Amino acid sequence: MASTEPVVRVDDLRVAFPTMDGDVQAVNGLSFEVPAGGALGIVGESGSGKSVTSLALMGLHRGSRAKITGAIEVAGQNVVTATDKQLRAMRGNDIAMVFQDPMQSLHPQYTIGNQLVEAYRVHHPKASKSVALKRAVEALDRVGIPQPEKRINSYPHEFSGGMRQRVVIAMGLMCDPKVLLADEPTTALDVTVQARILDLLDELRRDLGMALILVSHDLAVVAGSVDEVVVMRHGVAVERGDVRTVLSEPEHPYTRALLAAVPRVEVSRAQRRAQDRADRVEKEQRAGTVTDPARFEAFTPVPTDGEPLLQVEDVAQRFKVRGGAMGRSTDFWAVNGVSFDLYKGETLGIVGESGSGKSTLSRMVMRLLEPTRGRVVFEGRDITHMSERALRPLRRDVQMVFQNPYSSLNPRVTVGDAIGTALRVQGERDTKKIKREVQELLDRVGLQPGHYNRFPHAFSGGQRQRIAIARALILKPKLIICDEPVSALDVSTQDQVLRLLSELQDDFGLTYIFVAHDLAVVRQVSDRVAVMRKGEVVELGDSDSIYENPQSEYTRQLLAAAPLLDPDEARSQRAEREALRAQAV
Amino acid sequence: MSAPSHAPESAEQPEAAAAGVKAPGGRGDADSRSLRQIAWQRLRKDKVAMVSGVIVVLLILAAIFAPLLAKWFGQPPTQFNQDLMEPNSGLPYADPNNTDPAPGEMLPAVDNWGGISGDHLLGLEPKTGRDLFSRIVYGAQISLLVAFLSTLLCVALGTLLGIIAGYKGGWIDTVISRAMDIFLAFPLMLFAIALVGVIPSGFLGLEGNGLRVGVIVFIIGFFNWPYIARIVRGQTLSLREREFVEAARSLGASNRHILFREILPNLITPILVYSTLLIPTNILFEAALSFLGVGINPPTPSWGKMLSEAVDYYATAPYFILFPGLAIFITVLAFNLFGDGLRDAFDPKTSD
Repeated sequence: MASTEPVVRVDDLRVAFPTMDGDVQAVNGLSFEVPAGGALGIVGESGSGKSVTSLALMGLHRGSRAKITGAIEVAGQNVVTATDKQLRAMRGNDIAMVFQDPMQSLHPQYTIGNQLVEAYRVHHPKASKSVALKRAVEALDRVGIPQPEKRINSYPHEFSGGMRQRVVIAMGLMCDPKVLLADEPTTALDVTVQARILDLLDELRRDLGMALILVSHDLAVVAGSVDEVVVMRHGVAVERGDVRTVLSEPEHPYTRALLAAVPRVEVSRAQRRAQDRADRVEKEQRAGTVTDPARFEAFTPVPTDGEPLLQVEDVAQRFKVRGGAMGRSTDFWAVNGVSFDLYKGETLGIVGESGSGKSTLSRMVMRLLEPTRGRVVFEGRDITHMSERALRPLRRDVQMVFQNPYSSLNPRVTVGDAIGTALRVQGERDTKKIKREVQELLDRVGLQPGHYNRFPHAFSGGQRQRIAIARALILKPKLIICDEPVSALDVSTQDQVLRLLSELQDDFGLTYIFVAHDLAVVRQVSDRVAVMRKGEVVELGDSDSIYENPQSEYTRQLLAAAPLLDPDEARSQRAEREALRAQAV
Repeated sequence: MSAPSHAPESAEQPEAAAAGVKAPGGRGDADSRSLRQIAWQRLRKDKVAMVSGVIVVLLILAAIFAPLLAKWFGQPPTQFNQDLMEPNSGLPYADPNNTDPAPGEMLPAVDNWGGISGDHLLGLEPKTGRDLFSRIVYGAQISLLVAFLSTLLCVALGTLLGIIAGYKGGWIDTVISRAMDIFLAFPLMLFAIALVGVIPSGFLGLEGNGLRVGVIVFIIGFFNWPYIARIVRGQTLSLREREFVEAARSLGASNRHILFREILPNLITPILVYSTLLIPTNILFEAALSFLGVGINPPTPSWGKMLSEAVDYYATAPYFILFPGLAIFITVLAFNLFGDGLRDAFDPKTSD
């Protein structure tokens, strides 16, 4: 810690929101300090109060019904008692904020130059436009936007997500703030872009001597970038300390549990499965229901074991994109020439960044989309162009778990009906039987049979995903396609859902296609992995060899960008990345 | 490099509430409440909506029990009381028992309050002397009947066509959407006036006011459905992209199942809310038609007709314009406020 006087001081902060059911205490007695030029990470799962805290730091709860007590001091200014004018002078000048979604934090109707100049002239009303413009170009250059003199006249939609986040950061830099507050700055971005933005923030902090407050739900994101970390839960800091100490010797059980739940890219599928099975046996022994480990099916299925369950041959999906010249549509190949075989009992991981075509591919296998080209063969039957009616009996065998448990369950249908629909659609008429089966399944996925009549909104994200899994399971399918099943969930919930999927695979001999962008998660659940980029498979092979000995350049880039939990390793990886980039230039 | 050990089992308790920052208190019953129950609880706290809701209910009851009310508090709406009226001015006598002019006066004294008394709560209609209270109560019957029936027709047509347009897309959507534009471009009022005159009595076995009500309901319903259809279409467009629709498809559900079991339940709220806002518009429309003389035929009382008759007396008998005007005003306002309240109660974004 360099300086003596902290630039941000929060003491016993409490934020409460009045609601119909009484006050909700979003933050409950939080204290921390950030020295000038220091870096603090605030980590917590959704609902822990971390975003509320960052808004409070900016004084952005003014005008809302939030009740704030305690002290917040930013650069000597008391945020809680400051007048609106003082607050405005502080925002942007002393403390600048970078928001989560760069698609929404820039105004779509103004050029970025306009917005940057505006940000400067708000605090320097006497500055001439040319001075402000010069600063804007400098700031863009600083954050690594190529050709800033030209790009300054572009509109936000002309930039990619990562570039937009750079522009937002540049805007934050316009007035040389003492503190940069980044609230989940990389959550909406791909892994490789995330690594670059984090590298940029780290570089800026070191070069400009700004303090950095990095808010994230992901311990691995903050690990390499901060000195000190606060772990929040239910509005309280459960642990606070040096990042190395907290991550290597966590004191609070919650931090320990959180750390244990973070998927690690170095853990292999075999290790993970062995651990899950051991944990399960131990847990069941404690509960008194002993399961024989021998009952689990063979570890890795033999790929040559008879016919593949699913054959995908050279499939492609074309979308017409409007807005070509003269209103003509142009072709966009979301997936192009992908082939793979899938054998019973194995899990194929499909990993790739957004826009790589992984969701389109899974929807083609599911036949929610009809492939433009190629063949999909399930159990020897060509389903590529089968009609919806002919597909209906086959729908029993292939099921899907969707990404967003909030939108994959109909909010107006009770949980029991949502799961039972599958049986009803497939022709089952006996309502008592349906109810019994649904309740059994609810029990199996870790919910209570009594939840039958509840509506989805009464459940947390993890519970909803369990419901979605139960719905996929009720038809006793052979293949389940999981499309980003855990990416909308908190780490600890994510871990539980992954365990459930693994247990179900053991119990029912399920075959999975597991689609995700998180490299670590994919490794832990997949026997084989396909890496996708721009609609094509760059690399396909068994997961350990892909992760330990990647053949393609793109896979190597992805792996280098994966955030690491160990602060020192993360830092050395960052140094490597920077060296590589310097070489490239 | 160890595999992750046991996950925190406490991190996700079965009874954990949905919202991340839910208060610990009051969580138990929040679990099992359906959206409708939550909306009801919110509605109950909305004083304006509750008061207007009560007024709406009272109005409906008044319309249904109009004969009883007229019997208890007045007399049949078509009964003349010309003996109570001064024939020259058409206004009620100040004292019906003494109909001679006062000394020095040309005419007998008339009541400045329109003949309001214990027998006639809202006074008497000029000229005819019919009981204003029972005419207003009976007028509610016609107003509400027309408004409800035409709204029902709007909703039925609009929902069906809107949901099909939104779900099917493509050329079906284009055809339905263009049809909506065409219907909305029709000069509704002129069309109504023309049609009322053209349709012969006995059409479809209807005559008199039955026919008139039928025609008005048909016109309003047939030309206003695009408002509902647009809303339903827009909602359906966004709903059909939701993953639960894909999930239903991947279970092998038919289009009919998806439309009516998955999508329709999500549309009920916007339809309900919009209907309560459409009802007052339709009340006004019926009043306007009656005002113009192409609505309900006399002697059946109708608020619009009463207004148009009252215009002749606005200087001498303002009360006559006031009561039917107030009736329309209160009814429309109550429905509008109640509709607003419903919308707020059902809308998750206006969370408290």
